[in-house]
Amino acid sequence: MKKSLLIAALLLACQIIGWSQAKKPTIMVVPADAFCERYGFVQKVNSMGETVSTPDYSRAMKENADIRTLVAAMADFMAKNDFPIQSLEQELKRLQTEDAELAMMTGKNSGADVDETPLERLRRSAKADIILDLDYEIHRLGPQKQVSFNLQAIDAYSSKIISGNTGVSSAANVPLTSLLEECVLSFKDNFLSGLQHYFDDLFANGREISVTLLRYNNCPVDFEEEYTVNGEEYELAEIIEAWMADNTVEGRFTTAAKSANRLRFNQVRIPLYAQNMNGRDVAIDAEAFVKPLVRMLKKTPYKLTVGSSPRGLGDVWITIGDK
Amino acid sequence: MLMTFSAVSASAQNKDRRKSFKSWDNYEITTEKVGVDGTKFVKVWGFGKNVDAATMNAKENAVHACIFRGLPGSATAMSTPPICPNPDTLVSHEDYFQNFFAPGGPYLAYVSMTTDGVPSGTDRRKVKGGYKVGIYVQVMYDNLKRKLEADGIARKLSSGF
Amino acid sequence: MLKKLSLSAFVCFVGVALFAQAKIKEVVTSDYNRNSVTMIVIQRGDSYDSATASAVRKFTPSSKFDLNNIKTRSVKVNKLRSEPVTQTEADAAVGKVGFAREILAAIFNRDSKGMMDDKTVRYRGNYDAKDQDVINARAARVGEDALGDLGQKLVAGSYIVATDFYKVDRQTDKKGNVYWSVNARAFAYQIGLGEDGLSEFYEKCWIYEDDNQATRDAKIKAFQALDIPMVPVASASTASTSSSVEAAAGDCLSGLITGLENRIANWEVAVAISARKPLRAKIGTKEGLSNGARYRAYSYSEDSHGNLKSVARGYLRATEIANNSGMSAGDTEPSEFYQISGIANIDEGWTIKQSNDLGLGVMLGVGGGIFNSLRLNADYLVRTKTNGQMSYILADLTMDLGKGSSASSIYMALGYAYGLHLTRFFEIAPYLMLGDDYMSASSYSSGSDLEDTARFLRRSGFVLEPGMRATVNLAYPLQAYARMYYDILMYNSLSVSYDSYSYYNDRAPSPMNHHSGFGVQFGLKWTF
Repeated sequence: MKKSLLIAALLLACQIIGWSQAKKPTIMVVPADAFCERYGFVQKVNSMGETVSTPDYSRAMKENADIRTLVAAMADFMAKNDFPIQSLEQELKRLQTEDAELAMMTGKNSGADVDETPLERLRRSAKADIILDLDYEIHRLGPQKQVSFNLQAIDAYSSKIISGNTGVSSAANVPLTSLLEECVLSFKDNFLSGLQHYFDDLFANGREISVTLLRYNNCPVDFEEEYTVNGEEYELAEIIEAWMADNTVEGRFTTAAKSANRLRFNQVRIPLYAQNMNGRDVAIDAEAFVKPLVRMLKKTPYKLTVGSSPRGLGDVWITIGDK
Repeated sequence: MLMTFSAVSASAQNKDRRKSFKSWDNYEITTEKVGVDGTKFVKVWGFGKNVDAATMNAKENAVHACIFRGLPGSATAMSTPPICPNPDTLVSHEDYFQNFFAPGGPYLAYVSMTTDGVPSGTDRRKVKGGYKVGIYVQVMYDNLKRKLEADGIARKLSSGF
Repeated sequence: MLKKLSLSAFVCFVGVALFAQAKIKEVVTSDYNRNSVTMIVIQRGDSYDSATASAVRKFTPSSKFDLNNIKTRSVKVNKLRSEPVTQTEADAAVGKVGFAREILAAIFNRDSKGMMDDKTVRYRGNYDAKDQDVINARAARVGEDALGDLGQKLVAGSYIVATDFYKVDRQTDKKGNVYWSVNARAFAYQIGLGEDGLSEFYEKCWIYEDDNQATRDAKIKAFQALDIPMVPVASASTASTSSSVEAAAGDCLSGLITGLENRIANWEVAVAISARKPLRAKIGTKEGLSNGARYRAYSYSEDSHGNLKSVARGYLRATEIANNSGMSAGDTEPSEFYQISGIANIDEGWTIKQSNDLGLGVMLGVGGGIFNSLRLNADYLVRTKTNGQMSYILADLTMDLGKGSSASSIYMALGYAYGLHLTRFFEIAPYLMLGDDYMSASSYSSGSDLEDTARFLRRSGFVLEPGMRATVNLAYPLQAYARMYYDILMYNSLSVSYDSYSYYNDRAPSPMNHHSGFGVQFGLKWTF
């Protein structure tokens, strides 16, 4: 009861303040790794001498009509709920063009050791807040077909599962599209309810991200270096923790790892919106959230060389000693 | 004197109805299959003095379940959450729902019976004090949800953004 | 005192027994799906094999059954035909053949390469679909396409009926006409295949287009190794006489099916009453419904523990039969019925279930007329109308031993009655019968001169009997009846030919004294 009142109050506050630029979470459907693996929509990539297979989304979307049926059916009901689904196909095309353009340019490319996977890159580039990880399998029962499905809604920031939906369609000898659409209608309301729950939490507690700070070997200081703040000596790590406490929603975050060379914070709840340099409210992601921290570390008394690189929307790596 | 008496009995009746309204949870409902887009296809039971009253009660129950209780899943259909998951909704909007579920009330627009003819066979049972019937109904779940959202009873998914 | 005690103990015991019986009374099911059958003949290795096999091959069971066109149509039991085949022998003979495998091959149109399809299953599913199924399918996302899949359920309703013919007797009458009497017994077996069994069958034996040769071979092997039992469910017996063995055997078959129908609950059609005034239900030719077919109505109730009970609510007969042999589109034409018993009016939504009878009423009563005697009558229901009008063929067989007179008579009559129901409990039927009162000396052994027409006529008195019969239900099928009639003995006007009759009747010492006159008869009727 208390919680729901709080949510209601917050909602009211949101409406009164009237963030006209309030940004709806964007949602994108992505075929699950297991699905791509099963149907052979994978790319073999040589990474540091090892061959790893990564999902080949563009082939999956192009060659599998069923997944397009599913995405269309889901886009339909999400649109009815005022949440248009981002098209994975379009996003992939955009990425391809971007890659081509990038290859022509000689960009700054220092962080070879902080690689993003294709999915992470996709997530960051598409800026989808919620990824719908879709997997389905068609079973044959003699003349009948049955579709089993598994849809996970994943918060792109925290990689946490917002809502999981598994089930089976009817077993029948009917066009496959009927069974696929039946699946979508089957999980639709449960899925929406999971989203609603997630949004409620979002409004009440902010977004969840993780932040990692790493020290390069050439950095003159580590996280145990002490600085004087307000006349007291504090370790750099403590100062950063204090910043986190000040800037997270109700000071919510967990220090997951703390050493001289590495600091990791997870379950970091950040506000949905922050003011940009012109004082406007904008939606922020992990990278935008740590920008003030990065600026602070660059200034006196720390004077550090600081770089930040996002890994998806909800994870950011801050490096000290190099960019 | 007579008027006072009738007024008292009417208010007592009203009180009765309100009372039964709050403890309204004693019915069975099962999901038959995944319904056509925007609908829930369920089998629901109702009780009444006669078959017609029991059928009406079953329709009310179907709508009630979609709003407050949710629908259980079946082998080939996932469960459906209630439109108003907050258990306090019924109390805080009691007048609204009294009107909504009044005899011949707006709820009827969101439910249609798909039983062929009248409830029959084992779906029509004489019980102590009346009849218990099971009927197949389609609940226009999406429309019902939108109606409750528009009336400010349920929250829209996109509200707050 | 002791006697009284034992009597009350007996009553008490009967009461307990009845109570126990009532407790285990099964709930009558309200659903019915089509079943499929194949008729099989049990051969004995004698000269009657071909005639009986031919009779079975030519027989088509009621249209309520789908027919499985399986390969093996006979099994062999080495036993003399003078003895019937026992259940154990039949089980062993049926067990030797892989009937379940043959049924699956037939239903799934299995070809020589082991490929199967579900065309028959889908057809049957669509054909069996009731209006409720169609409406339900429309409400569901997968839609009416999935109606055909209802046929999967029907596979478990596959039966074979093994028929045995025994005690085949040749009889010759005096004129040299040959008659054959045949006894028949049928054993019904159901395929022992549950829903899991079917899934297992699909998994092991169903060959997909994209299966490679090794998989195909393995699946073909698995099919040949299928071990699905045929489960004995019921047996029925009958007998018939006809001019040839084949005809007599053929005559037995429909009786056997009816007999099995009464013993296999799944074969009894059940449906809900869809309307009153007149009573209607959505069954018809598809379920093999015929005019006069008897059904029993049931309603359902719950006791205080929530246990479901079925309550029998009287009988009804089919009147107008709807042709519903097409696929259901949600608005099947119903057949009409007339309620013939039960205190409560049969209501919409009640279940009615097939309850075969012969439509044969047997009446025993006493009364006057041409003679005073205990009279045995029978009526056979020919046609029933929705407004309760019924046509009967009447028969009367009465012996008058004449109470010490020198002669005795056999009275035989046939007639027609048209019954009108004022209420379902009360029928009034004007009728007309024409009878023959055959007289002979008491010591006279009848039969030997029957073929002598002239002599037969001389001893006969023809009787025309117009009358009116009223029947009232006591506890259906027990009814009480009364009839008023006037017997017109016609021998007087044709006295030349009827000399023997008139001698015994009027002139012999202590004559029979049959005469024209008014009669009233009271008695009881039981319908079989």
